[in-house]
Amino acid sequence: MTTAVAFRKVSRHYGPVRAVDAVDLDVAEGEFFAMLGPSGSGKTTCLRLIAGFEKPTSGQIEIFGQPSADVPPYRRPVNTVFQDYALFPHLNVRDNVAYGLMIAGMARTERHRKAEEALELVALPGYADRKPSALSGGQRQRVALARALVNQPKVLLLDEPLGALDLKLREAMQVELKSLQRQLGITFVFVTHDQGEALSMADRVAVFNDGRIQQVGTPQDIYDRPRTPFVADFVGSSNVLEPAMVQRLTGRAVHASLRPEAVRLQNEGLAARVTGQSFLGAVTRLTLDVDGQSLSMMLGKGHSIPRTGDLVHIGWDDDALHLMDPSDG
Amino acid sequence: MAEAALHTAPTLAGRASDLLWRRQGLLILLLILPPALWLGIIYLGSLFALLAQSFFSIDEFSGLINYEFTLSTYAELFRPSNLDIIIRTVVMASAVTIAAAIIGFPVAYYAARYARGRWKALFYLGVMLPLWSSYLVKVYSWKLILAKEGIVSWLFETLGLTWLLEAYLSLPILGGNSLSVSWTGTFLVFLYVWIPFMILPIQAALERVPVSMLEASGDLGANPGQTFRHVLLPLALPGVVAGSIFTFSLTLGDYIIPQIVGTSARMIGQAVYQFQGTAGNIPLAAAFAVVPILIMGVYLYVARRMGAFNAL
Amino acid sequence: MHSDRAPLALKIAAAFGLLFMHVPILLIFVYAFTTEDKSYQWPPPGYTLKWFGVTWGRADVWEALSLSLRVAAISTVIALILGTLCAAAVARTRFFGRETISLLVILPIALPGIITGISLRSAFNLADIPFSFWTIVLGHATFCVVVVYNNAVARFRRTSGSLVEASMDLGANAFQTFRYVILPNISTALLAGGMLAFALSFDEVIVTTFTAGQQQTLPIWMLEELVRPRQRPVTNVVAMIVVLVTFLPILGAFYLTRGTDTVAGQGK
Repeated sequence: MTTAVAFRKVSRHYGPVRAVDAVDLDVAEGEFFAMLGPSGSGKTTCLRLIAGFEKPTSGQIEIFGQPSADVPPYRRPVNTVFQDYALFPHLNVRDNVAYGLMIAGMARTERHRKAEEALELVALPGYADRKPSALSGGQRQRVALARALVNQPKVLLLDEPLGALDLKLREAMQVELKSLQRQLGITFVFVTHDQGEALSMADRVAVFNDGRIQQVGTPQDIYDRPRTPFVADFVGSSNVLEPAMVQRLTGRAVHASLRPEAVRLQNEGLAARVTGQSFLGAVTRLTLDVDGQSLSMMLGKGHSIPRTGDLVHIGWDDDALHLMDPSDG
Repeated sequence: MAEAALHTAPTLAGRASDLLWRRQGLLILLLILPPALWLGIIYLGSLFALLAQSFFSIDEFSGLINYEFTLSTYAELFRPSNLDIIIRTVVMASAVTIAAAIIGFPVAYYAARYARGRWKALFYLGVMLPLWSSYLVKVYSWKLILAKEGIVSWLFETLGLTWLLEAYLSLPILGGNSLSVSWTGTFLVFLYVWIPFMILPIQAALERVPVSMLEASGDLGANPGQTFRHVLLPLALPGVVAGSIFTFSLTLGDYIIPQIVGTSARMIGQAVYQFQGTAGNIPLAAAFAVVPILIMGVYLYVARRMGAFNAL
Repeated sequence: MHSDRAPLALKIAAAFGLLFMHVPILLIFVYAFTTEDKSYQWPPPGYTLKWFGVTWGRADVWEALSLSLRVAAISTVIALILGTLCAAAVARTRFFGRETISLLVILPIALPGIITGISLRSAFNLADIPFSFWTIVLGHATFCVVVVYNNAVARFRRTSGSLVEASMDLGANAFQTFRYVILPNISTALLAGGMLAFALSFDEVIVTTFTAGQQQTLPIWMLEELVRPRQRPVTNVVAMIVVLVTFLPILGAFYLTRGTDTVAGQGK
């Protein structure tokens, strides 16, 4: 499979701040790739490095095998959907979408026809004559998408494109984006801080923290087999067990992750003190204290709910405990 | 593919653009160079040339400039007659500034807090138009108003209060032969010409006070007067200080208003003008010009510490 | 403070302030029609249109007006170029000495005009440059830069930086981006700044008295009339026309920037 975008030991430093630190990464052609991480983790900087808005302090980025160091943004086969959409306020929707084609020298009628097609693709026909200011957030987002797609980029970069939308719209757009990507076969690189979004849409996910990649893998991999305590905590809201406790349980002094839904109440087993409970609808989350290690677990309907301060016994299946061995690389 | 064309041999503009992208410092340099050269050479160059001359002196017999470093020109500033000029100007500038703040505050306050929609625009224009109206025409209008046969005298006469005006004009310092040759006249013209410069920054500062803050004060038991004194006024103060920078500085350097409306006693601007012109004493004129610069330097330093620059 | 009604005392004080600012200018309009030509008598003994005709026939007024318009036009063009360049550099990027540059732009307005005037005059003397049309322009352009700069920098800051990136992302090089994205977005701010610069130059007198030789701009002509009145009614008419002529660009600038950025008052 062809590599669409490759990072080779790429760093981007701002003075003493290492926004991106020695990142190695391969994005395959045709893949829906998500960059996931908290704000300030370096994911957006990585996207801007691909687009060419930033230059690496060291290392190299290849786009379809071509070194990109001397290629300005306007000569890269990538297009971006910006977080604030960056629609040109002085142009109507049609001219916004046709902008790239106009710059490329396409005749007016031809590019207007293509723009209308792209607007149909994003389910926004009939809006061509409006100004961006007359559109809702969701509509602007679609225009931004059409404006990028009409240029048939080899890679589409999306910078938190759903961040400004409300929950319902966001969920609908997730489904649409995913099917659009399948339909067009374009490589998508998608930046988000929402782990649910990344897991549900992406073929593969890279989890960022402090300018470094913590783990790259399929959503299943990342969720079930987090490689670092950070990934376990950020992606799955998993319990991260301290090495001391893991040693007592398994004999190995490493961090381990344990998903809350894998923990059961039992008649005997590990003793735990209930420190709180929160009702989440279908389930109730209990927070527990086991010898100073805090744990959370999910309790389904039909169970009687222990009160704060109660002593309970817990257990789980052996394979539910995932050891995070740093040497596993 | 649309972008395929972009990969072909770039045009000259394309190549220049590539160069600017690769070396972004070059772009900034190209942008900043013309204005920096213009202001740096023409303006700052002239300014330093002038200031340098304040360290020369003038030969009293030949009237020629003696190009040797000396502080004697500065010492001349402390002669009683010159010191009078400086003190007179500073007192005038202070009086104008205080009066402008007192009269300007209600206008700014009303515009910021109560005027809405069409009225707001009207208030804004109501301040902008006088601000940008011709300076000389504004001065001229007061020459008409304050003239002996002008509208002020007529008003006092119509009201049967001529005796009051005459009593005022007979006061020392403030009065004079008529209002147009009195310090009161000079003061009024200064106040009139510079007051829009006071209103705009105050309005800007007041507009940044959120209504919820005033409501919180009321909620905590303050009556409107207390809210005004303890919440609004401290928050508006940077705006007042910012406005005072203009009124003070503009009054310090003006030489046309006191020449047209006022007494024969000079202010700093007139002194500078006469020393460089008729008297041909460029070093003393330069030294005099340094005085407002120094005063404004101190003033700006204090204003900055009070946070006035955020209100500009 | 909860009510949106202003207290009566505040209304009166605000009205007084506004009246104080406007009545004197309005008086000029009345004086332009007076029949009295020897004094500033109020109320005017009678009204006439005669002085408009007299003013129309005065060659010196026309010459001064023409000089003022030419100086203002060329100073505005220079100020537009320099002010826009400076605003683009300062608003878009952080570089060493950025603060110094903004200070440098504001200085010619922040310092009293007499200092700018004398500095330029003594520099011209030192460099043996004879006074001419161009020495006037030199001075005017210097203090007009700040007005354009203030308007342009505010607009640059409001124009999202990602617009430029979006344009480049869509294939436009630096020049195309300037032509198709930056210019359309800052044009009204530049027009407003240009109008204010024009008004500022058209009205300037203090610096001009030092940088003009024998030439008379309209304000210099008026200053002469103020110091040594020769024909008062003509001065009245000219004053009224100057007020009307300067109002137009101010109103224009106001409508162009309304609802976006304010016409910065400190520009003057």
